[in-house]
Amino acid sequence: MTTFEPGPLHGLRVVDFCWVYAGPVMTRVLADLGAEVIKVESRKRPDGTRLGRRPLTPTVELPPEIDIDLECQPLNHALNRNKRSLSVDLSTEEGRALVLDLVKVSDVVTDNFAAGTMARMGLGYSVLSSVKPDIIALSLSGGGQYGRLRDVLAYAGTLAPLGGLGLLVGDADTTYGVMSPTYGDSNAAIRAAGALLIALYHRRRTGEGQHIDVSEWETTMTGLDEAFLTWQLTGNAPGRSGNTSREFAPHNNYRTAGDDEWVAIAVRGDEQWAALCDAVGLPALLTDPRFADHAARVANAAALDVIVADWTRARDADDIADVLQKVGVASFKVCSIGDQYGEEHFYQREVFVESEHPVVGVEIVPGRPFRYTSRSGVPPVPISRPAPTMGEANHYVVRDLLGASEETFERLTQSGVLH
Amino acid sequence: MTGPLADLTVVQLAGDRSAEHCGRLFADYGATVISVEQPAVPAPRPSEVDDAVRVATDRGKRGIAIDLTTPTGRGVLVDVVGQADVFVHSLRPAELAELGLGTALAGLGGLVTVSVTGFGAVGPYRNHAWSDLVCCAAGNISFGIGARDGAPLKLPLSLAGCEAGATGFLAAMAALCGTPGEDGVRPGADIDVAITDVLACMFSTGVTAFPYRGVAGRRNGNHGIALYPDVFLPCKDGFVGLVCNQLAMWLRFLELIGSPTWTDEPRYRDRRRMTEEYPEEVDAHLVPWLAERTREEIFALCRERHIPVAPAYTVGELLANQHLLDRAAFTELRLAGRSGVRVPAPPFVFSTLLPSRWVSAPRTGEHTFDVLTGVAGMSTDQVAGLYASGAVA
Repeated sequence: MTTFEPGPLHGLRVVDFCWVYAGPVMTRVLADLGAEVIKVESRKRPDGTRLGRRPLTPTVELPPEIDIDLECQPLNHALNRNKRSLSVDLSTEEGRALVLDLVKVSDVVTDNFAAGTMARMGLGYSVLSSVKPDIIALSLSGGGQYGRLRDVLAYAGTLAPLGGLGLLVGDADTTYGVMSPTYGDSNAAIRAAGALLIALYHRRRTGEGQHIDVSEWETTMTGLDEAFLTWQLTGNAPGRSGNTSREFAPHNNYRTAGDDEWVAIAVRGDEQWAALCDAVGLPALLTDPRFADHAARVANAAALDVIVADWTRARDADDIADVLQKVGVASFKVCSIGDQYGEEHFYQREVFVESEHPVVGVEIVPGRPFRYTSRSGVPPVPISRPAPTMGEANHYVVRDLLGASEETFERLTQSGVLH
Repeated sequence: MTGPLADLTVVQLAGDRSAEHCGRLFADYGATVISVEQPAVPAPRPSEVDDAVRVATDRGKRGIAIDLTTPTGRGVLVDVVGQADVFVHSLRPAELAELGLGTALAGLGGLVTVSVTGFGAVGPYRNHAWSDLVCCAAGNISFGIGARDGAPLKLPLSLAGCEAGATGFLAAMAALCGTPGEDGVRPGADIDVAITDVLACMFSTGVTAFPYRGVAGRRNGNHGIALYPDVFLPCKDGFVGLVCNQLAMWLRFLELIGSPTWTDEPRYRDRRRMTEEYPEEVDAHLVPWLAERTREEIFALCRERHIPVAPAYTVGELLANQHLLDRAAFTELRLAGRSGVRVPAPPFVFSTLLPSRWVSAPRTGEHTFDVLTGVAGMSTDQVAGLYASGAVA
């Protein structure tokens, strides 16, 4: 029988109040590393990612406690695979007490509510730390837990403008752009998970717990040093730079054969430039004074783009990338998710993994964003647990973790405290 | 050295911003981060901004210069890494083998290695060349950025690489938090981060939905993927972002702008079609109201009504924003001939932990002697010999 390394955070229990996007991405990566993440949910106000148009109607026969309308959303499955679910009515005194009992046997509490919400629910850090002194509580919110704009509403579409990123997205030809992917949320999730592990490291050395206040507005600014410095040192407001670069030329996504198909090409230095000229069959470019050295190529990037685009226009994007990578030039097709489904890379590296969901069956869900191999030599445990159905872990929490009787579990279920 | 990570030593051998950023995050909370560089090679003088970006990225790190083209130099690197807790690098497998580091690193049992590359250390593209642009393409993020008929765009600046560096940091921290084995020694780990994977896995919303809903998230100019409005629009003095994920928010916004009659038409009630099929047409109805008002006026009106709107701030405005100043969101750098230059501080408020307020970065090789004697435990004579041979500088 194959044994697996359970992950470095094995044994760490997270009571997770996070919902929608940023918070669930943060706690998903903790689960990736072996933590047991118990998502605290409510049927009265379900996670928004459980709701919406059903993409399919399952044909399997479902037990009566499963509400099909809450179990069919692919995004919910993608964000919550490998977690457990406790569904509890926190407006009841017994529900709140049950959650505090769970906190007593846990290590971490996470939320991404509006600032002050946990305290209003009677679950602020002072309460949590009174029942579990070394608890690490992390609150992720738009503007942070204090400050005059702590009530700012955070969505991907408001974080980018707030954080200074909105005015940097797009290219000089378009007046403005936004990012379809949820940059602000995912970035906040990665940053916040790092902060949480700093606190855990500190706790393992000192025994001290922690409250961590993370503002998504501030995490959005984290990668923008260059923009802040440009403004302060030159007086010029940094603008939308599209795909232009000072380090690479050519450097762009070029249209290829096919409908809306493109290939990325990035060339750095004279050696790669020579390799590109050879690959495209235009050795004359090497003696063209407009492209004589890196500085000249950057200055004449627009003229260069026309020449490269002319070469790519009738060719296949994958073929172009193959040809260029063989000679050491960075290149790849601009991938839709459909393109990615056809790439062995994402399966071999377990970026896409299969998960068998009890309601909808086998689905592809995102795996780990890294490969983690312990030096013990034992392979890491695969991601196999699907996103939980609502309340999937109610019995486990009440009976196994809290040690209550079957009668108590039945009573809590009948009375709607567990629901 | 103070800070929660003060007992950690990290060696960074970075080829780009991603691994440098990973090292930065360790230094932010007090780790000793040793940045390995090649002895000074003649290079064009960087611009003042480039130089300042280097200070922002490398502040608080130790600088050591090793000539990795020599066997002696490579031996020195292994000696230094042998005393470290973490080794962060951006070498592809072929480059690692070329330096003879693969087997040497494998022998260091408790070490945590973090490799941050474009396509990872395993897989069909493990030796591919990469850049942020190419990873944004492979990682599906460019597919969603740009004008509808224009070229797909990368994430601005070095954001893509920084995300991978930050992902490497958190995985390494998890390894360092790991429970020691029966021998009392914490097992090391090898963490292989691909920039492409971080984008594909953490930033993509449609992976699981694809078989049901097909390709989604295609770039749509100033519109996002959510129901209308998920939009970035001009106003009197700049731009605002407007998002209403709940219908009630959109209805409150329409009430705010005077419940115009066009909203009675069925065409303006299907928020999905409004985003996907004719967003510009709907924008045109909102722009006149926005054009008469400033960002702050719109922000204030919408905050009162719980409508998610945000002004598009310039970085200059952010540096003066009172909310951010109250939260100590910036930290000052020490730059030659400049004072008061600030960059974003680590974006966390811990109840008892503080970040290290580093202000300057090392010159190439500034700490070579200190690191070789202090960290690697070499004698003064040994180090003098290495300087004389040219293996270090």
